[in-house]
Amino acid sequence: MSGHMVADEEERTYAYSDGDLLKRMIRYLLAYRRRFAAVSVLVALSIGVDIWIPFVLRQAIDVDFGSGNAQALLFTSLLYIVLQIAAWLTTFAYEYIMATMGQHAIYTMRQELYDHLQGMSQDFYDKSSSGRIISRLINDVERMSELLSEGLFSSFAQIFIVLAIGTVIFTVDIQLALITLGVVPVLLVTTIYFRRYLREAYRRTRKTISSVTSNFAESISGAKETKSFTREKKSMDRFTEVNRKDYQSNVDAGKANATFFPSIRFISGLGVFLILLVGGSRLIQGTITLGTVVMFIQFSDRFFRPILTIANFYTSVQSAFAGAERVFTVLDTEPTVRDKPDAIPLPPIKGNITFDHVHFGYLEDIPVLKDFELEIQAGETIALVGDTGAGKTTVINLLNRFYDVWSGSVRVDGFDVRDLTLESLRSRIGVVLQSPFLFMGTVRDNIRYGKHDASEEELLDAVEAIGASRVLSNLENGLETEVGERGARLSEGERQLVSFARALLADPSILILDEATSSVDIYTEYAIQRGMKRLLKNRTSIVIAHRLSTIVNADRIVVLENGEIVEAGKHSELMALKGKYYSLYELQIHPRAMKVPSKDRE
Amino acid sequence: MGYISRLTQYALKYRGHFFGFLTAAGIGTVFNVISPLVLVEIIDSVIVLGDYGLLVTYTLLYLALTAFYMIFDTTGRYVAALMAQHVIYDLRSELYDSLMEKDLAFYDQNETGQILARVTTDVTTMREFLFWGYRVIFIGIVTLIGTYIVMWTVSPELTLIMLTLVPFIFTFVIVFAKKVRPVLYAARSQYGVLSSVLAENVVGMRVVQSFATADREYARVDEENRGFLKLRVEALRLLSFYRPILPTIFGIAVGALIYFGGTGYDAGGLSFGQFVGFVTLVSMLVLPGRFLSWGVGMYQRASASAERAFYILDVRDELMDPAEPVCVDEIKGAVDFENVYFSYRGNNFILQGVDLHVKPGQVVALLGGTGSGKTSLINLIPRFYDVDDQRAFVYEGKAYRLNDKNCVEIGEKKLMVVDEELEIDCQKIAIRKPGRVLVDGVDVRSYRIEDIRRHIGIVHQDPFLFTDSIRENIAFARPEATLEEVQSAAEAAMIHDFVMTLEKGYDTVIGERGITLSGGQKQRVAIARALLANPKILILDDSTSSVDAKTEMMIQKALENLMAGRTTFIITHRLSTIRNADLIVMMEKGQIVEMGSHEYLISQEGLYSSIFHTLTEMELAASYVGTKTEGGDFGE
Ligand SMILES: Nc1ncnc2c1ncn2[C@@H]1O[C@H](COP(=O)(O)OP(=O)(O)OP(=O)(O)O)[C@@H](O)[C@H]1O
Ligand SMILES: Nc1ncnc2c1ncn2[C@@H]1O[C@H](COP(=O)(O)OP(=O)(O)OP(=O)(O)O)[C@@H](O)[C@H]1O
Ligand SMILES: [Mg+2]
Repeated sequence: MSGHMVADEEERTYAYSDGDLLKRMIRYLLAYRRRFAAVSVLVALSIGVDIWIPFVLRQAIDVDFGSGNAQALLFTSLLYIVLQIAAWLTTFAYEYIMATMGQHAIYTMRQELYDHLQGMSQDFYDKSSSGRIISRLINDVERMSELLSEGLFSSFAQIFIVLAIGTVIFTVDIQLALITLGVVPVLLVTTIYFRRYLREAYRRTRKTISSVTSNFAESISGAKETKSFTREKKSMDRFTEVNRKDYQSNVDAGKANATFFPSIRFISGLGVFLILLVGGSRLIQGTITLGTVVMFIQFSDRFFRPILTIANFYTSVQSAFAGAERVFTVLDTEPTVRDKPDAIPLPPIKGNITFDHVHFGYLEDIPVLKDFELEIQAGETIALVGDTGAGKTTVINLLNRFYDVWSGSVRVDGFDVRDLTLESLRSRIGVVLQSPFLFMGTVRDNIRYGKHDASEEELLDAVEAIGASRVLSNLENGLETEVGERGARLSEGERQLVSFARALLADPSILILDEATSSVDIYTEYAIQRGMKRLLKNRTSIVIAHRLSTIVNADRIVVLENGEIVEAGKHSELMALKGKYYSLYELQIHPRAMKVPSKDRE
Repeated sequence: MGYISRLTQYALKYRGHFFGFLTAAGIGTVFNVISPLVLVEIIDSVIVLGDYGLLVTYTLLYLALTAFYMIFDTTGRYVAALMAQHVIYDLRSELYDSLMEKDLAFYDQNETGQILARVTTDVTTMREFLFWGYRVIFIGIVTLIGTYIVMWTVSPELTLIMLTLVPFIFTFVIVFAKKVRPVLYAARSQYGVLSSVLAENVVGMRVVQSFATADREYARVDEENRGFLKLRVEALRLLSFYRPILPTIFGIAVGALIYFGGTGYDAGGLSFGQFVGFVTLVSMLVLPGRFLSWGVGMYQRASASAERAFYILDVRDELMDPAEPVCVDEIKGAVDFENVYFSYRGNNFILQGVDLHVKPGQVVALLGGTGSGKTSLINLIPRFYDVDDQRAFVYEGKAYRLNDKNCVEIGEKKLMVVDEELEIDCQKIAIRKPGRVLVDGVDVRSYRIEDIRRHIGIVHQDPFLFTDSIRENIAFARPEATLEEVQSAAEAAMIHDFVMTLEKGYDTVIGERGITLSGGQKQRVAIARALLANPKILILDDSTSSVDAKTEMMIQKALENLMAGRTTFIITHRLSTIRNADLIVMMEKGQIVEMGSHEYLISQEGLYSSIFHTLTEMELAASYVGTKTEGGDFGE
């Protein structure tokens, strides 16, 4: 069990190419075609305006200035102002529309991913840590947010700006245009050179920060253990090590970062320098106007900024791709257990259960159940007993279809569970799991989870039926007590009772109790036993327990050993058999049968 | 706010770095701000004079200024990064240390996800502020002032006009802080809500699936997700509206400049160079506007984050090592509870006046109702929680706490303690000293926490295993333990045989990255782990509830040998395992109701004996038939 920690991320696996990822992300945006078109138009407009502005300035300097024409000056000045406002509004409009599109895409993606996760089968959850799955839903989807709602369009827009300016300036002055463009290769080389550095540096920081995070996460989840065994010093040493590594990698990244951006700016300064030098000498010669030179200075600024943004964007693109890859990997993982296309809902059931020559194991080559055969009549109460690890929980995992059998079949009322819809199957089966999981909220909320629209009476009935009313009303605020994260503010026995009541409230036709009362006190247990007859009336039930008191009353006791049924029958019959069952329980019944050395100590 | 100045305290530990990067940033900014002057000079003098040599000099000067700016900027950034990393390193160590010291009440009261966020995400936000925040605010101010000074040298009159832009800059900063950011924060906190719903559902996915409540949960996620979408879009709308507003205003100012400059030119006031210089300078004003608003934003964010992170350092809670701890190398293992009252920081007393004296080497079985306080009681020995240190008493089955003035309210009545006694309705109740837990006759609060915990081995009711190999898990307390030691602990806990069936044996990794253990297997690994620690006091909290009866007996038997010379507390709900205990303690609602050996308690015919008989009845009703038909002997 691990707390619900969000583990930070490791590396890209390159299971998908950048192009595939991009295509797939864009597909989410394409759901909004009209907005897409609107954005394209607005972006084009804003580029137009952006290019126009320096021309107006040139007009002002070269023509209107000193012409004495106040009218013209006013006109130019107003045009300049109007263009500024137009630039603002178009930018606002397209950024806003982009944001709505991008965020809708993110919303959809997250919802889709969650839906997919709900459909994933249990083996998926066995294999990946909950922290990592949570991180997909939260962090990885978020990583794409910037790219989808700003980045993608902006980078396209920036590229167009660069192309547009690159073309326009040639129409104005070829020599200065060449100079302006001449700096671009320098810029590109520098960027590419640094990019490798930066990427490597950031990759390392991501690695080190993720070990810092997971170190924190495990220390927080295992705080009780760490304290119990006074491992604080050693944990601290381990932490110091990862912390130091993180320090170092961040300092390295900081160094690369500190050189990169100022260098880029210096190169753009170099461009201005050249324009000034060449433009200046041509001004002296009188072969160019001042307005043109100023315009080029402005253009070079407008020209470099997009390049810088694109370069800058690279890191966030990388991060988005990394997130996208992991999200799509999950989306492309098919659940091993899922509804058949022609699955039918389970009709109201009687509750006959058949395990027919079932073979099953969690890992390849390691069978847990071997040729497991069991027929359970409707209304019967079966107790499953056996050593720990014999496969008892596994049996009910199969009935609930958390996993699919290797061979053989599991049938409910004659229907193979694989032919039924999971939803209909599971809603008829109530399970009280070995380690109860409670949601944050009150005790009442948690019990109600079993049946959302249960009346107060039904709820109290369920609590009463399992003899939990005494225990639960002793809580600080009775049923209104907050249970805390995963129920941590309740005692273990209380958690089990709440989880029991929750299952019972759902009124399932088949009830499964997997050590549901192992930590419940004897009196409550007794109360449950007495109520059991009523509780299990009209239900088929499977009870897994180690306490004799819980199982003696079962209609049939099935003894499992290494995934095989070795004995079955009533308690008295099995005791008479003096076999496995007898050896399991003789000690509990005749504790004195074993010579216990501690007695000598008195 | 206080939190940023506290963060600054940390930064000032690296005084050299701190002032170093500020100086570098300042000088760099000066170079940046004066470069337009070169432009003015080139246009107005060099070109008019037509002097090529001078042109080269001036343009080179421009390049030099840019180069200096680059050098100082780089230095500033680098030194700032160094400082930020140093501070973060320190802060993280401190946070980690503090997390290690926290009592369990802290972990009860704070969601684990929240704690993690405080020490990771929030620390990252603080790092951002350390790296950018100071510099950006400082550069913003220097640029703002510098630009105006430079403007003044170009044209005092126009500068006065341009001063009207200053209010715009500040309005922008304020509007951003007041209008845009609250929405950003709302979006972020909704993100937090969405995250916890998602996280909880993933962790509890088995429950969601087995109750077939997927549709309902989908709708719940959808609601939070939609709420987030709405807030996020609103935030982005405001952001894209306000963010470009400052450049626009300055663009408008340039437009105005065209008119006023142009007409001024006619009057012989403004030269071309001055005009171009002004246009450049006004555009440069955008920078401080952006920087200041960015800086303020970072400041706000960092301040909120710092508050959240420092919270962890500040609840350096009640549980603390004493100033002058009692030194211990070895303990004998006597445990005494004296008049213990305890509550989980609520009003409800979980333990009420518990007195229990355990001699070294005794085996104590704790028995009692669900939620009667057994776990809470044993948690006091290793100081996972501390006893209530106020005086309290029980009256008519209910516990009351005395306030500082020795007064208490019962119902309507206000009563006061006189001579260590309280008189209620003519009934005198002796008020005893506040409760204590003693180990070897010394209050546990007088030991260093680590010293005491080293001698206690606990198997928790719901054990947590780390995603490590089985060997590392068992050797958690003593990583240097040899494989033989690990094995013998595993044998005693009856898990060795199972481990041997695994391909990689003790090197098998368990948990998320490896195999999944069944409930009973997990418990037995946890028992082995506690045994390896070789504690003087061993506590088994319901630690065999998922273990079958036979295995439990065998563990019990193995423990008998191991328990020799150890004080052992066993909490269990199975009577069969506790008959041999030296002392059986029955608890009900936080009080000890009966205590003694099995025989003694049976003879008392109290709660224990009634439970015993009930159980025997239940268990033996059926088995009697079975064994009798067999003609087997029937023990009791
Ligand atoms: N998800 C899983 N992946 C791999 N192996 C598993 C998984 N769950 C259980 N096992 C293994 O399968 C075997 C049977 O486990 P199961 O949980 O069915 O035992 P059990 O009889 O319920 O035991 P207990 O009484 O201890 O709960 C065990 O050896 C266990 O280690
Ligand atoms: N962390 C906590 N915060 C608040 N209340 C708690 C916390 N832990 C336990 N409690 C409450 O204190 C009471 C005693 O709990 P405790 O765990 O000591 O019971 P217990 O005797 O060990 O029960 P069980 O046999 O079920 O394990 C319960 O009513 C429980 O709800
Ligand atoms: Mg307990």
